[in-house]
Amino acid sequence: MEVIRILRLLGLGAALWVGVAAAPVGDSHWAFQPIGDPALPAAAGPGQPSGSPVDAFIRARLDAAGRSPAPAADRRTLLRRLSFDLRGLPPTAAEVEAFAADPDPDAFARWVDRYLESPQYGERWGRWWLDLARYADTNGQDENKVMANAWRYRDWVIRSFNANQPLDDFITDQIAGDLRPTNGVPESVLLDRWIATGFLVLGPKMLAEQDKPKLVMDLVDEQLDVVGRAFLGLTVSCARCHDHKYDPISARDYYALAGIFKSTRAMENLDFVSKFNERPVSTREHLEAVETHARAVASAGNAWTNALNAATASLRRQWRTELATALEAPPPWERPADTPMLERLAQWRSADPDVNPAVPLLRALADRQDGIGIAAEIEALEADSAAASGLRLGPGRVGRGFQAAGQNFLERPHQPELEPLQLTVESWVRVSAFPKEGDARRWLVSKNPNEWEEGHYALVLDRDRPGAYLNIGGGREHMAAVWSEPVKLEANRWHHLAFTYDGQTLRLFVDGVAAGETPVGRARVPGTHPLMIARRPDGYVTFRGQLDGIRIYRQALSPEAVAASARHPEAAPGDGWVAAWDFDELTESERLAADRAALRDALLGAGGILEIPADPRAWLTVADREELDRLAADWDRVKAAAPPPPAYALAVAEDKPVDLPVFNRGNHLSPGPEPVPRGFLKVAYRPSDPLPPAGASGRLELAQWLTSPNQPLTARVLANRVWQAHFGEGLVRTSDNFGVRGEPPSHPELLDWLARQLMESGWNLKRLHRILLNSATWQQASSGSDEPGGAAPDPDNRLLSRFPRQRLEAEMVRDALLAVSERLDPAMGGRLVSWKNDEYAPADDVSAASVRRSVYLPVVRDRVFDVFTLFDFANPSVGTAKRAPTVVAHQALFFMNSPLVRDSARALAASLADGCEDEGVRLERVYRRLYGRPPADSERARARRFLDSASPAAGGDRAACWSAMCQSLMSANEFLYLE
Amino acid sequence: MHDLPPPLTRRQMLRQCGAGFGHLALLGLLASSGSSTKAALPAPAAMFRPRAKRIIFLFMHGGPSHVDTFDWKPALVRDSGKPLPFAKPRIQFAQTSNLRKSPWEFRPYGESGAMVSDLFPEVGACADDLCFLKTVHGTNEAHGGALLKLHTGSDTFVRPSMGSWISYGLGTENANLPSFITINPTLGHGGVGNWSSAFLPAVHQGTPLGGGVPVEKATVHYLHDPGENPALQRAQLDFLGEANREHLARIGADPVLEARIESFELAFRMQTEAPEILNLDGETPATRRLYGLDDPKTASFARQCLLARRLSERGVRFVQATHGYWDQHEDLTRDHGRLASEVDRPIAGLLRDLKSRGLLDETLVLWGGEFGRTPTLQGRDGRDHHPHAFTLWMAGGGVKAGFSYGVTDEYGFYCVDQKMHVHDLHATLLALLGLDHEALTYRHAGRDFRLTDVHGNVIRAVMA
Repeated sequence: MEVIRILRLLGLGAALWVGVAAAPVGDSHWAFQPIGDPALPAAAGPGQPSGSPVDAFIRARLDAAGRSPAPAADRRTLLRRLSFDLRGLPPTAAEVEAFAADPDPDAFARWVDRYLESPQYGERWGRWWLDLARYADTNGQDENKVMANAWRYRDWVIRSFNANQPLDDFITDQIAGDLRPTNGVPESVLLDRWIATGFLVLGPKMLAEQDKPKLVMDLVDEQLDVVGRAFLGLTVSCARCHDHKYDPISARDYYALAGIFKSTRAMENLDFVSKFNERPVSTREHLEAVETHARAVASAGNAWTNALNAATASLRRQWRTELATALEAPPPWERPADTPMLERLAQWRSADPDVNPAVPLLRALADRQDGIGIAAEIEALEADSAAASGLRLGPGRVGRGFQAAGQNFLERPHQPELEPLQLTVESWVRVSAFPKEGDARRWLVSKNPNEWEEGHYALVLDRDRPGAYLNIGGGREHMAAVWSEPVKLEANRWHHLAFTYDGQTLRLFVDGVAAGETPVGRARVPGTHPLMIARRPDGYVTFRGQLDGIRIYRQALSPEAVAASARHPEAAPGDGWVAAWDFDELTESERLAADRAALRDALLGAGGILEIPADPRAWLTVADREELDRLAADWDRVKAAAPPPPAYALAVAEDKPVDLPVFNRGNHLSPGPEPVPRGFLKVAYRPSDPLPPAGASGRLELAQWLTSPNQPLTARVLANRVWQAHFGEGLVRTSDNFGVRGEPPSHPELLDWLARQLMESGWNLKRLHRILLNSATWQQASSGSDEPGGAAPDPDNRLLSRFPRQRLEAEMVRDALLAVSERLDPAMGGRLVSWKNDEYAPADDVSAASVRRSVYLPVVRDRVFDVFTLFDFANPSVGTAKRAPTVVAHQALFFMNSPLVRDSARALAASLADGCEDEGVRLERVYRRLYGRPPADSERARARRFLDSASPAAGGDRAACWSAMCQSLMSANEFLYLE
Repeated sequence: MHDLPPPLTRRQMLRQCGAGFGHLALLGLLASSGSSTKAALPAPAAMFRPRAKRIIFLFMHGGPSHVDTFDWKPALVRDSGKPLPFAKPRIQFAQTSNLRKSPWEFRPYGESGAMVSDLFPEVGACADDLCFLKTVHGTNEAHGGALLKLHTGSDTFVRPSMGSWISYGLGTENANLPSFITINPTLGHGGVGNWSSAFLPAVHQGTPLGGGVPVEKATVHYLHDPGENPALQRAQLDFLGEANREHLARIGADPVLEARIESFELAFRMQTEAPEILNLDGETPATRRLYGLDDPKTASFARQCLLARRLSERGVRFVQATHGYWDQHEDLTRDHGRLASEVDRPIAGLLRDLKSRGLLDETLVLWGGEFGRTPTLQGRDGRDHHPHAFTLWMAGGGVKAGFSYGVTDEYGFYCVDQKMHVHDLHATLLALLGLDHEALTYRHAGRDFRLTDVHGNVIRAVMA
């Protein structure tokens, strides 16, 4: 392996690697052959079109079949066809008239250019790409979370198409935009490249899948599936479980590619409901403004906090002095209450010592004659954080116990004897009050960081239910837990808790009685972290109550021994104990610490005489108060001047590069013996293209391979997709499958010629549009002449002896309804909803009322806008190569009853009537606007008949009759289909 | 591929399919271009003898507990409070503690003596018509994944719903109605993914009736027009038809455009028929009582069950009625009790009604949730998600009556014998409808897809 790695570093490994691979079956398949450089077919029949080489290829096959092309479509038909094709919108009546009246034979080519340069081109063709990119604004699948920044990807796609970004660049940005060289690249382009990688994050993900490694591998598979089909026209993901059944794609190929995406980060976290990855995409200037502002806010905030702290400190100083003075005065402290402090002290003095145990402590302080003075004593206590968080004493089960106040705990450093293989942990516990909300777990005695980490053992409470944790093996999946069933604890009562582990079973005891057990069956692995009392070692300093008689044994006590222990709280620990706490026999230093803690609580703790109230302003001087108010106002002012928050986009990032093994039957739990080096499909790889390097995911090399002139698929696949978009069907009708099970191309030489044109023009898409649209083939009529006798049948029009009639796509239906009724808002870009990122997708209350272009409506997976669904919108959960136009009765109901059609009809009728009384002129207008032609006499007569005959049903309302007629005209086949 | 026979004319297609316009209306109406028309036709019918013509799926969203309903486990009573004596699964949704007995008593019903808990006395009384499937198991422990698995066979990828596959396989019996209707579906946990046709033609998409609205307001989208004016609409359609036919004459024959002209007439008829089906006023007081329609507690699901029968008897192939939310991580005793009391009578009413109308023989009723619940306790009074063994039952439609298939362990935790994966359930459902799950395929993205992917065994033991 090492040799191969070095060879790969030298750029030589590829040859070796490919060389050793057995030649797969099927690699003689046409699609894997190099793209040819076919000569144009020679003219054969009469009337050979002169304009486009496309026609030569098409004509050659027609001639061979004894068929002839249809005549050219008339100009009105042609412009309607072109306008929908390039802009997704109907032409205006004025445009149709201008073109129809233009005597220039090259007029059509100028209209092609004009529409290609219109911004609506990007909206129409961007949407074409969004189908393949399975674009959506929500995750779909099990947890339909909002991807609130997906729209930036959509808008980038639209911008890219309008800018005619070379397709190889366009692909590279989406696969590896974050990895491209950045030297001399303008910042706006860098941001766009990051946004482009959202392509890899957009897919549906099983966010609540609890088998997280599976979630990741399913995500990798989804990415591979989209990339494989969109660019390569291959069903690569079939090779996840086994070598591809038909195509020369081995499971090793699959995992070579999968390793690239496994080395790429597409998830921000893998929490219970996991979160997709994003990154900030604001300009440096913007980010700097945000940072500057954050600093200014922090600084203004600090000024206020500092002033408050200074005022508070001065208040504390003053109180301390007053208290010391009062205490140092001889008893009985009968000074008049002439300061706030003395007033407080007066209340204190009268307090019952049993209720206020601090009073005797305070007296004791007053009695001390150690010479440092009471004020200095208090000051020292204030600074003593150990006294705040350490040992406190309270009543015990026997004698004294440990008093936990939700802020103090005991720590014992790690010692090997605290890590026995078998063990018992027991303790007496008395809970003051059970937590009412939030995480109600409380750790009583525990060792090693937490329950998800190796070696953790703990006696815990979940509200009033005792339990024990034991982790052997590390990680969430190795956490064992046992919870008491059904015994619960009572507040303010002593209970005895214990758990034992005998190397097999974790057993819990409450008040000496078995309360539950769970099998574990593994040997403990000793930890090395401290042991803690009244907290979890890495957090949860939250227990309030008393503990006593804590013992740790290096063996699992028998149930009888535990029961005996619960019966005899006064007994000393038995044989085999390794640690014990009774809190009765204290060392001098422990006693001192406990006293100091108690005194500190009495003075500074909750309800202490020196406790500074949460809002101390009432106690401050007028000057201090005014200064604080001024600073607070400053702070608010600075906060209010915030720049907009940084923008985020769905994006990937590099992860640790790894090579994956082949997973047997696609199961991530059964990896094969050895990792497969990251790489590409062998059948379409030529050694001159670089392979993924050791130190990076390999996405950049993947993009280079996808767009390499040596790689025979991408250019063919894309040229075919563009052809399909213009002609309804691809030259290869299975435009997502160029594999063995796909259909072969109807015109293989033409496909290769177009693919070569595409590559050699620098992947210039608009040029490809021009080649196709300016061909006679595209411009012929859709109603062909009758088949000549003896001609080979061509029921599917594969030879293109006429233009295939096409139904408007879902967005075109809606946009056309809005456009002809003069309601369409042409604003570009942006987001129409204000849904929060990562929230569950709310109801779409925008789409039905919006008059923006359809491409900007939110795409909610699993709840796609019904108008779109009805007209065969792409399923946004899977890349869609081709929408299948259906005709169902429900669509008729839509034209009959939907608010969109009815409102559009009303608006259309109103706009016709605007400033025009003459119904004949209105009729002329509506036909030109909807169909691009004037009405025939028969149509004028029919319209007049309708307007008159419908009048009674419409209650004599002429405007309603016009609306009704407009609705019917909009529902007609002539409106919905492109000739 | 260049020598395919010319496409059938509509008339030829009618003859060849032997199903008349009714069959063709929704399938043939697709009339999409070229290959997808062919794809929309049923796969060659060389399959099995159909035992059922249609399915009613009563879906209990959230996951009703099998050990508290139909999978009686005396050992769970005996060992309640003790730990589970064997290992829990590798992946769990959350932690549970010890075994917990059912809060409900079980008692035997009918000649079959099936043990049913006191949650379902009415359904229990129908036990001799039921065929219990006690070892159904899936893989996903979260709602979304489990719903998608049960409805589409995949908790990983976007796949067509079983209702869509059945519509695709059998077509419709009624030209004026969709072939797959889902009443009051859930919009979460996979949402439309659970009744989506995915890559199958859109005509096989489930048509939602309600969902997110009270059941009595449920209707088909665009069916009711607030400003309806039938006379004006008729005039509009006549005007439209004339214009369309003139257009057709101008451009030459085109079956797709012809189909679209007819689709408006079909829509007009649907508009008449569908509201009639949704209107329950014509049901007799006895029937209303049978379903519990007049009891506020049961009225909502009664309405769904009655609608299911009405749609089903008019030939809708797959009707789903959804009820929820059976997800008791806490308060199992209270909420399972409440939920069962909402559905027990309506379900029994539906079974009895179908039987008395002679429809039960050809209608397969399927009951169940996306998973069961753990025999072990969660929290104080809850059970967690449990996909490893749970109970569904079927009735009618050619299944053994008064029968129980599959055995779980003594606590109902894992399947022991005669296991039935969700894929097996799907294979069996299709087989009962006369469809071979291995032959019912659809070519998409270069691959032949099946409801059962590469899995699934038909469980013949449950067939009568």
